[in-house]
Amino acid sequence: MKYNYIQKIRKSVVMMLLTLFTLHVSLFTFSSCSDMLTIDTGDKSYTNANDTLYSYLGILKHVQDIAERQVILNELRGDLVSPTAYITDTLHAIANFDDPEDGSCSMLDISDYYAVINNCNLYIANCDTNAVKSNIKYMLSEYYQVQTIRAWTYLQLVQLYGEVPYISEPIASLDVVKNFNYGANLVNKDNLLDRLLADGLGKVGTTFPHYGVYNNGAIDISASLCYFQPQLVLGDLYLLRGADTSDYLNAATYYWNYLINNNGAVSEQYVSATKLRGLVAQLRPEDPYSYSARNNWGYYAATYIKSNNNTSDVITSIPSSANAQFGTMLMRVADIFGYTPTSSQPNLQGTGHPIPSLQGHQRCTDLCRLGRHQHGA
Amino acid sequence: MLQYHNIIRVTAGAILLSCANLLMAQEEAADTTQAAPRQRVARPAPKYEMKEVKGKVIDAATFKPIDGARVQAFNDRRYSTMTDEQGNYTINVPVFVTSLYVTVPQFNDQQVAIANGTVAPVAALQSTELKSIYQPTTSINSTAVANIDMSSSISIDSDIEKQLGGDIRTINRSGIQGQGAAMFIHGLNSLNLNSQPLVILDGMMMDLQLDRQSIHDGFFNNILAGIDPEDIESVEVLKNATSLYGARGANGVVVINTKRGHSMATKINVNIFGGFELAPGYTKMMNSSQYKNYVSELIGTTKFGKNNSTASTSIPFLNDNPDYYWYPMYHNETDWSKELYRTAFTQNYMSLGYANSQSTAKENGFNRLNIRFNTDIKLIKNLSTQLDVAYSRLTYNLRDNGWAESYATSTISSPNVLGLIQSPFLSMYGYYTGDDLKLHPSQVYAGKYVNDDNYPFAFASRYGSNTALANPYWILDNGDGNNKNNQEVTQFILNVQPKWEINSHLTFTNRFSYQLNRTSEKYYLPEAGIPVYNLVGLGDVTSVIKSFFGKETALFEDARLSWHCNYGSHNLAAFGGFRFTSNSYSDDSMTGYNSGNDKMPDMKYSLQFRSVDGNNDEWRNIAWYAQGSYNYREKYYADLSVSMESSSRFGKEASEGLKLFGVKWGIFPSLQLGWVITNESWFQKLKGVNHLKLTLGYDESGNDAIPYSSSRTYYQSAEFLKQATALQLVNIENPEIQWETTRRFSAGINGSFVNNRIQAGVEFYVAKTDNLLTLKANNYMTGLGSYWTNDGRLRNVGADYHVNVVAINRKNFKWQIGASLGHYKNTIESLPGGNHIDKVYGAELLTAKGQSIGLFYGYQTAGVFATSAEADKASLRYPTGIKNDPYKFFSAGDVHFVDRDNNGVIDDGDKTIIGDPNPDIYGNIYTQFNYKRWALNVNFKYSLGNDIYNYQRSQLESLSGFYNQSLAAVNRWTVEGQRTDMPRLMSTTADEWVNNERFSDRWIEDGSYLKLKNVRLSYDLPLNLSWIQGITIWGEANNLFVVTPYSGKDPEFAVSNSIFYQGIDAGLLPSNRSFNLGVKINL
Repeated sequence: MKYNYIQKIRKSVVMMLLTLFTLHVSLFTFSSCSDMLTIDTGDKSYTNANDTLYSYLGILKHVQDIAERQVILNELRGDLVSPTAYITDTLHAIANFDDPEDGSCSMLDISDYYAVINNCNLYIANCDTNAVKSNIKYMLSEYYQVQTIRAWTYLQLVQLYGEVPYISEPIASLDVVKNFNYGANLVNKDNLLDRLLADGLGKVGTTFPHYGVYNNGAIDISASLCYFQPQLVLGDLYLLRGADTSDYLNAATYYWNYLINNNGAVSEQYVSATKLRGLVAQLRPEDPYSYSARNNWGYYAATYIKSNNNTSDVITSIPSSANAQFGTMLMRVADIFGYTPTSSQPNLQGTGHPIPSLQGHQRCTDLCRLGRHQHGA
Repeated sequence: MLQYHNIIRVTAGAILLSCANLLMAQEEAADTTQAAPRQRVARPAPKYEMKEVKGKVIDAATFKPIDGARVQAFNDRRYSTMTDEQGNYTINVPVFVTSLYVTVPQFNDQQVAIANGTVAPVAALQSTELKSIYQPTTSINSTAVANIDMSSSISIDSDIEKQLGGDIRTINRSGIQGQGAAMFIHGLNSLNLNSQPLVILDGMMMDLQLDRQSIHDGFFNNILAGIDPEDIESVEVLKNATSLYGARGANGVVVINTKRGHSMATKINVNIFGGFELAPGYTKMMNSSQYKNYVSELIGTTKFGKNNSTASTSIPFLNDNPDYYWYPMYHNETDWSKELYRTAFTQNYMSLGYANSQSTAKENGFNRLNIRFNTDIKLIKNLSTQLDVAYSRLTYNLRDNGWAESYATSTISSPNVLGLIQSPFLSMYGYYTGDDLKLHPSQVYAGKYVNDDNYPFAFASRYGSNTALANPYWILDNGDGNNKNNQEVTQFILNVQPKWEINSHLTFTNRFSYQLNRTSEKYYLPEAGIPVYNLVGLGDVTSVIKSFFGKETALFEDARLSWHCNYGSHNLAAFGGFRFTSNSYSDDSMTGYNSGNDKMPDMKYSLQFRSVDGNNDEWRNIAWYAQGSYNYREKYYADLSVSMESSSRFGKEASEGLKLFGVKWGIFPSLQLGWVITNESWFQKLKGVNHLKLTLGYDESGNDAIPYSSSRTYYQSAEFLKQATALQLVNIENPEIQWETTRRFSAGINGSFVNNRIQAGVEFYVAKTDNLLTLKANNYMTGLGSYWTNDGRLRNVGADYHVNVVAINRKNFKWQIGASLGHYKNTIESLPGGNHIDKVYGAELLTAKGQSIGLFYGYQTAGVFATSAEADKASLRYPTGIKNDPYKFFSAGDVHFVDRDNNGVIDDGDKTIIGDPNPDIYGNIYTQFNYKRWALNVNFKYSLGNDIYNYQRSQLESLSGFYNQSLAAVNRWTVEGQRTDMPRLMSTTADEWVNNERFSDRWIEDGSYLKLKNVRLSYDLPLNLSWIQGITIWGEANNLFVVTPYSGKDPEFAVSNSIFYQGIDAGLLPSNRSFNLGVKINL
């Protein structure tokens, strides 16, 4: 009895040691040091269409960071508003074209624009635009959006700063920045368009993805409201360059196409028509008239906007979330112009989308893992 | 042949007990003496030229000869003999033997230098009750050992604190049970990475999760609390020569060894004790009428006060008409802190694996169940294995403790803070009820519903937002429950080390360990009794629900080949090996608000503002290491070691190190030299010096605690809009990121003098840490903030001293006294990114070239302006930051901040260094008396020259909000000409507010202290029983008194493990006097 017991223990311990030894040998025979030290980090996030959607939303979230600034900077540098005693010195300095002394002015932090650009570059570099399902290249329309957002961001940069470095390669390593040739890659109003066209903007079509609605915690917002219009961005870019008449012609063409495609035509009740001549007439031989507003244009504008519930007149909107829980709140414009954006505490149990919300949170947890979340460190 | 050495600690149940008995039954007698490291086993001695040495062994206390003492050549058991009845011995040893080693049970071992002579000095042995420096082999590294016996600690940290205070700087985290201590060896060896030592438990490296957070404020999940101190045999601190630990050794190493069987006889030690800790004191606050004065005056300075009437008729609590309906609600005298604390009881059946300990803060406590089997099994000839299994489960009952750094996510929820700042004119449970509708105590309804007309706690919210404070008793009462506020930790350790003795020179061992650590924590701030709190950007909340689950698994392997050989006067030993660690940590936490009902405290879908968070970190290290040791005649020693280590956390193109097998390896060499001068023949003439050792060393080691993914490009999820999750690039790889390198020179001298009555030593060190990990701003084109890179250098220069004197050594009375002292000076030598300031608890901490780490950087003050004339004379201005109205003036009653740059404006240019949290010296002072069977130990801990930022006081004397203020605030400036050091009160919304409460030297205090840590009296019962070897009864008192100029209750606290938080008092529960009574039985 005693003997058996000893045997048993000895056997099991020896077996355990043998197993460990085998494990050890196999571990070190069949893997190199670099394999052993490679941690599965889930770096790749472009394995399927779902991932690109998250990246697209990531880009839009970055656009939220510059959207308000775009409004504020334009107003500060424009002539229609002037700063009062109630706004900060920073905004005073910008409005008066003073240099902020410490250079820490967040309003002028150009890196937020490049955050949009770099995330777009990452998307563009990794997106499989040839992926086909049911005979449709289903990635294309989202890809067009990203191309357009990047172009729009560069357009804003050049309008604000005159000349900025241009990069279309994603920066995923410090080496990219280290080896970047600034001198050869500066863009301004004259060469921006060429660079963008060469990097794929020229091939952008006018199809749009279908994302349904977002909910910002208080209201539903149609995803289509958040699309960037490639034709308008292209039109702006040609207009910005304005090198010769063909640029204006191109710009006008893009605007025209946009209006035509988006029910932008206005009834003759509100406009007067004058026969066109020359270049502009060539633009649309089938309708060679120029239109100008009649007296009741204001009435038209008011009813038009009202009847269309503020939406169809909107080209691109960047939504704010209703509270900080659900994302970035856009409060700066409201703060500066002194009005309070209305928001209410959302009732999470009531209407809305109870089940998708739960999924949303689960997804978030999964992505925390995927994204090598670093919060606690 | 199967043999066991068992040491069985802990059995929590009959099943385990019976298993243990089975194991014990298998014991068979055999020679199982375990060879100490590097000590040679018996084998036929080669032929050397021999000499005969004569000597005598006596008892140092009685001078009587000792019969039967074992005498051997030092570190060579092949030559040994025994003393005769007169204590004399004659031993034949080779001529090159320079010292002998004497061992007798009940006495300390002693090394006796003979050099080339043939007559050994008389060896006067001291009782084991006294301290000894002698070891069977000579170590030339700077180490310190604490042997643990009859511990009364919950966590081993406390024993380290008591015994190794000068070797390792320990800072007790708080008075909550099991919190342990923050530890630093040889200064602060890193700026942004972990700077606490590596802990090795029974040969395996542990991850103490120092960078992890708890969802309860002021609480740290101390991994070391999972080890029962009664299971621990010894703790050793390695202060230099940590190159063998490669990229993990730069902060020094703490080696913890648990008890193992040293002989075949099964020994069972039972240590049972119980005790209590007295309720702590707390700051005296203003009473009801003082607070009423204060708060009414304060309201006058708020926007409300300026726009509305502040007459007593319009402010309910000012109405002193006893017939007024609300009069009883606002006319109480409540000491809110009084009932929050208690005398806390502790029961430890440690040897049975169960400890239960209350905290002096009510509803806080700790219990632990643990089981450990340490087994040594001889499998076949030459092959044996250690097999250790340990399991422990810890349960904490918790509430928030101390001040949180930010109240962005919840109202003030810590009962010990609320006890101070809640309004004294409110009552705990007063409620308008009953037939007469008068105020009666009601523990059910008082303050339960925030919308109640009777709700007293929101009285201040009329005058400012988020000013209502919670009732701490509701938090205690309604936060109580298994699913509400607790943490449960499960630790499991499997540790196997087979050992193959290939021949008498060569041994192969391969340690394999598995550790599992699971933490589950629940947090619940109740609905009832918590006033509405507005979270910026979210909305109104009352209850807060959080849950946390964390898990870490670690695999550890250490394969080692050891060799040793003796060639006459040359001793050689070497070992080399391979080490692999793989850690995987993940956690998830969730937060939600407004449970609606305290009976349903769980995470659920209906909660508002739910958020989730998580970490998923994996890291692996591989290291190769080797050490060669040489000594010549036990006189001259040299250890040369080197290790190379690579880690998943290093960049692939790390700027230093060696590229091999596709990865970068850090190379860490070390050379230690030693010289035992007393073994020199020419030294023999110097009487009074029994042993003298000089050591000199250089070592390099690294710190690999770089953020887990800083060498990688990765994305992070974020919310774009509700339900629309976005993925954004948040970090780009820095392929050059690498370990921090610490290069340390050390020199030491240790000796034993005057018949070993005085033992003293000193060790000096200079350590430089290169490649400090610092944050650098990313290029703007990346769109990212900053990235980690290696840049900068810091230096630690210091010394450790220790001395032990046996003042009286008589048969019946012994007295020894000793002290240890540590000192370091920490300097940042280079900081390419420039000086920077970290903001912690409102403090600004300066990191600047030429300065120590973490200096307090703020304004100097020169009292309070007593008169307008004084203020006008100084004419200091406060910058508003608004262009049209850029300045306001400091006036009478405001703090006189020193205008250092003389520009008339109190601004950033006036900030200077106002304090240094680093101590000048720290350590222990102890003494021990032995009278017959009685022993009295007295142990002090001290720290001198460290400054404290008293954050708690800065809140209790801020004079700008609705918190109740300390009694000192009564003396605030109120009338022209009043001389006081307390400024006038001023609401932060007032135009006259000039931020008197800002971070300044008003809040910096000298944190030096001398603590009587422990007084213990023990008595060995005079028993003579065959089945009991001994019974010791002991009683002790801890923290009996503290001598300190510090105004807080306890000058020791650590609110976080980062070095930047070490001198910041966030009002954690203080440790208080505690008393224990115990009995130890050896079977």
